[in-house]
Amino acid sequence: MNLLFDIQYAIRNLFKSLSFTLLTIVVMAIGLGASLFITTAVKHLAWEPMYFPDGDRIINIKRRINNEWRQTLLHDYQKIKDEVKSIDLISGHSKTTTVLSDGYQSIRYQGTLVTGDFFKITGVTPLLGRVITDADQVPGGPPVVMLSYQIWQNYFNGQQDIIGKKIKINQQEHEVVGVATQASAHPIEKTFWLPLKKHASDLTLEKSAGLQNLNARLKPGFSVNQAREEINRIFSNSPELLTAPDQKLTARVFTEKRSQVGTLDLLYTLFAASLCVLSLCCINVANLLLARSNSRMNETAIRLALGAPRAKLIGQTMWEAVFICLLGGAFAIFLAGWGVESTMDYFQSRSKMSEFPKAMRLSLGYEEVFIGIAITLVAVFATGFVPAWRSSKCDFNSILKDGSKTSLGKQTGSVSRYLVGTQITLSCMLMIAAGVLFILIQQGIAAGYGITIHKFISGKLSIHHYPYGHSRVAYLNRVLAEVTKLPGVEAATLVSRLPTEYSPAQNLEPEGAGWAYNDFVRSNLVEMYPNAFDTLGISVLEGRAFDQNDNQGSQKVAIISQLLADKLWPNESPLGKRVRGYWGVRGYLDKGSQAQADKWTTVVGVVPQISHREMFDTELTPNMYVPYQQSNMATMAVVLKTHGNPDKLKAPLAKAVLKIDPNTPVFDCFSLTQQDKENRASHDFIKWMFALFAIAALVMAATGIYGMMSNHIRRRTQEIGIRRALGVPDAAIIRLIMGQSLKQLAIGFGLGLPLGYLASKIFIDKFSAQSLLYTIVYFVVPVIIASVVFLATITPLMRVLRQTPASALRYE
Amino acid sequence: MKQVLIEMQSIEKIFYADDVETHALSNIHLRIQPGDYLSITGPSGCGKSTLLSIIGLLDSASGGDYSLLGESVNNLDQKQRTKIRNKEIGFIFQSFNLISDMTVWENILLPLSYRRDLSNTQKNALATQALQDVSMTHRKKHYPAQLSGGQQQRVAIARAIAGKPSLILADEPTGNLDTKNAEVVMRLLDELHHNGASICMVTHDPRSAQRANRSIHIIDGQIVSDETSPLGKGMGTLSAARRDHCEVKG
Ligand SMILES: Nc1ncnc2c1ncn2[C@@H]1O[C@H](COP(=O)(O)OP(=O)(O)O)[C@@H](O)[C@H]1O
Ligand SMILES: [Mg+2]
Repeated sequence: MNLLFDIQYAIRNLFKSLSFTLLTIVVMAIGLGASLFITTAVKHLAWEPMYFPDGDRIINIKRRINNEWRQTLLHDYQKIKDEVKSIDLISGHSKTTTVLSDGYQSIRYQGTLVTGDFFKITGVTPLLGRVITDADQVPGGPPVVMLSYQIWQNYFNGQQDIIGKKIKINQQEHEVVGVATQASAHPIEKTFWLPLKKHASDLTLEKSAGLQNLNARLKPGFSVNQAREEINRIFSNSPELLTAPDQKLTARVFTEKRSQVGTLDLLYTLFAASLCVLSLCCINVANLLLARSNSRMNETAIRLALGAPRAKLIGQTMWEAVFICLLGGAFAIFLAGWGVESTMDYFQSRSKMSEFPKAMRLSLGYEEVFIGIAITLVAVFATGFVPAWRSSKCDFNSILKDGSKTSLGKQTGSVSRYLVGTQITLSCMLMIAAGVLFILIQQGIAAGYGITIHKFISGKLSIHHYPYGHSRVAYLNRVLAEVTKLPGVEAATLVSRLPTEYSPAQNLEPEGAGWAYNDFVRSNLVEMYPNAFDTLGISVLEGRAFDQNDNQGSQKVAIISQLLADKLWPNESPLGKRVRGYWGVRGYLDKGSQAQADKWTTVVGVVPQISHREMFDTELTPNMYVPYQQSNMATMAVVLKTHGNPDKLKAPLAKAVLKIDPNTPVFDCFSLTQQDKENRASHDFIKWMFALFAIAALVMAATGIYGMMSNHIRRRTQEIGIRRALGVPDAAIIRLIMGQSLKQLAIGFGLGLPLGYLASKIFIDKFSAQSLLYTIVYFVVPVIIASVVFLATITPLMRVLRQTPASALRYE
Repeated sequence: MKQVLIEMQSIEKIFYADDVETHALSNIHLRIQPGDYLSITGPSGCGKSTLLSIIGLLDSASGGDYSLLGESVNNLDQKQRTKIRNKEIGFIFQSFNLISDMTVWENILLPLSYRRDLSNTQKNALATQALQDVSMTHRKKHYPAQLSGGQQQRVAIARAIAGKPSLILADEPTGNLDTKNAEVVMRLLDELHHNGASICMVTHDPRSAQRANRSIHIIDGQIVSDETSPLGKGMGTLSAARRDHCEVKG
């Protein structure tokens, strides 16, 4: 009964000042929505196990040599499978290029080479037929393939009699043994699964196959740490797994989470920032409720005098907090849901992929809604507590006795000042950290690749089926000749890796340096046509560019980036010096280029350092360029420099290439601008989220300070009137009231500036990106906050000063 | 003839609040000479305080002419008005209106502190003198909350007179006081008048009104009577009560 009355009373109060209520709900919804949204992202990407069955027991294992990440090998897989006791399933898989052709058309898909318990671990199950088994892994056995549901539907129109049919993949007949269910697909939805058909026992370590992913399932009762220790113990006792003496082989073992991306730190920071915004928003609502319970304090005092229990009065304030937060929370869940949707749309629109990997997909499920409710309840407590505590502490007797609000105003005024001081601190810290991160990310993005990208479009050609040597060169020469003739093309060239792409790195040994594995310099290896530097606009700093005379028959030559020159031969001209690649274990490279590992290559030129999609890496990998004629990689990118919009050449390029050889379609055909956009999608996103949070923090702080100051000034209206009546100049009154705000500012800056500095310092150090611009942030943020505080103070004050002193005096 | 202190011609005051026009004052003609002790009476809401506010430059008239010390104030800006209030006018309010987080001494010093024409020693001397005049020297360091109502009003009077203003305006100065304290305050005003101060006092109390040597009565924003009472109990010299004719309009 009492409870019902309290609730009714609270609702009546809320309705009485509808605009206040709505404002508070909006504030709450924004704060809660932002935190829920970020929580969802962090939860999905960082905390949640993969969507595998027993996902929390699946671990990922990576090889490390001397604490550096290396490609995991089939031999590692075998060793772990044979000897590790803490796991019960193990599987390896790698991406592979597959071209499906039926005589009329060729389509390239990302295939997946699998070995071991892949299907048990990932939960990929057959809808038709069967999965790939150990029997299919026999080297030289009949070629088989399992199709994903998507490919079966899209390419084969869902033919029910597909099982047993032969299809042509990479120019070889494969028998379809199964089709997966729609719900199960890994790592992506449109893929083929092919048996790896290799066994460590048949191969020397030198010829071992690389496995991009090595997964295992923990036996029930075993922890990741136990597995890590066991694997490391076995690795340290396995000299046969070392590719060179004196190596220290260890394993990186971690639970398979959705995101292993480098942006995780930023994501956590974003999470912290969203909690910061939520606190600011709770403080605002608490402050507003505080002001309200103050304005009702006289009434409350009378009710107390009439015998209402204190607890009841506290309850009322609490109930108001409950309603505001619950309504805000409900909106917040919608807001977060909308945010997640738009984020997914954003990433999809910036992505080259037609489908988005399952692991990256976000959604708002029941669990997130529960989290939202939990956050809301915390907010209820945070907002309701201070006003309730305040009214429980209040000396109602004195209010009744002197009937004036001044003594009460003083008591609550100080609480509200603490709250506002906290707000300034939080927003100052958040804005500084966000500002620095924004600049840091922007600089990373703006640093770019070292070339101007907007005129280029590139498409990939996979020429595995052309024999190594002359026929590859002849084919590519024809392509180059044809595409150069396309209208709108200014120039065309061929390179193996574009600056917008990652490039695998190789170990380099300079001549005369000896054979110390640890000292190798790592470098990207890019193969190119002679005109590539010219076409891409890269100038030769020293020596010469490649020409037609650098062919199979001539001396092996290379052009290196300035960075590589500095690393290999500091203080010396690199021209005429010799290097050779040392692959350690093959697996990265085509069979065709194996022979190069031990051939010396002479440096004939130096070009500037071009980054290969390393925008946020603290250390750039240097580059080495070699002429295509002397290496013959199987995947090359044809690059067009265009006169107009490069996207317009997409279709003509595809057509021209298909005309030369219908079995060699162009794939991954995108303008470099588009590729760049995708590269920085997540950083752009995080950057704008930080900006958004900084603005939200500023708005919250501004409204909080405004609320406090207008309250404060309202309380002092009469006093201001008295002062004016006595002839105190307005300027003196402005100084007086400003002094009040300045105190808050001083406290807020005193704490917020050092905190913001420390928070941003962590990232500046991490990216070792010193810049004068950050110093500007440390100045600009306080100036912005101070101006906002000034405005928030002067606006309500001017309202009083615009009145005549007479009406200020009459103010009750 | 001495300079006229206040000269009001056809003063009007209209308040606009929530689309309602309140004619608080209409067609006020009033002349006050230096040394006058004027009481203003009338029913509640008739416009007494409004008139006092306009006299004291706390508010401006909606129409008419007003000259203070021979100069028109119609076109003065806020800054100039503030300066005149500070120097020439002392206010005494019904609810004392001391500033609660300032001591007695600080309250008295407050208006003086904005006087450019006085040195600090002069300011201190004036404040000390004012405190003595109201016999509150012993409470110099107290805060308003530590004083009784009568004492607070005495401090307020000290604050009003400290700068030796040309005109003292009192709006129901005894309204919040018991008879005993009210008598003390009235005596203080009498004394001020006796020493040559010009006083305008709004009051409810007919006995207080009688102490003045001139009394105007307002009904519905208009002056309905203006009586010079040379027999007023005020201790001011009757000779000082010589005043010009004051028009009374219906
Ligand atoms: N600031 C104001 N806004 C609107 N009306 C006002 C204002 N000040 C005074 N009034 C009105 O003017 C009239 C005169 O008020 P006032 O001078 O205070 O009367 P009193 O004679 O009781 O002192 C009243 O009707 C009052 O309601
Ligand atoms: Mg009045």
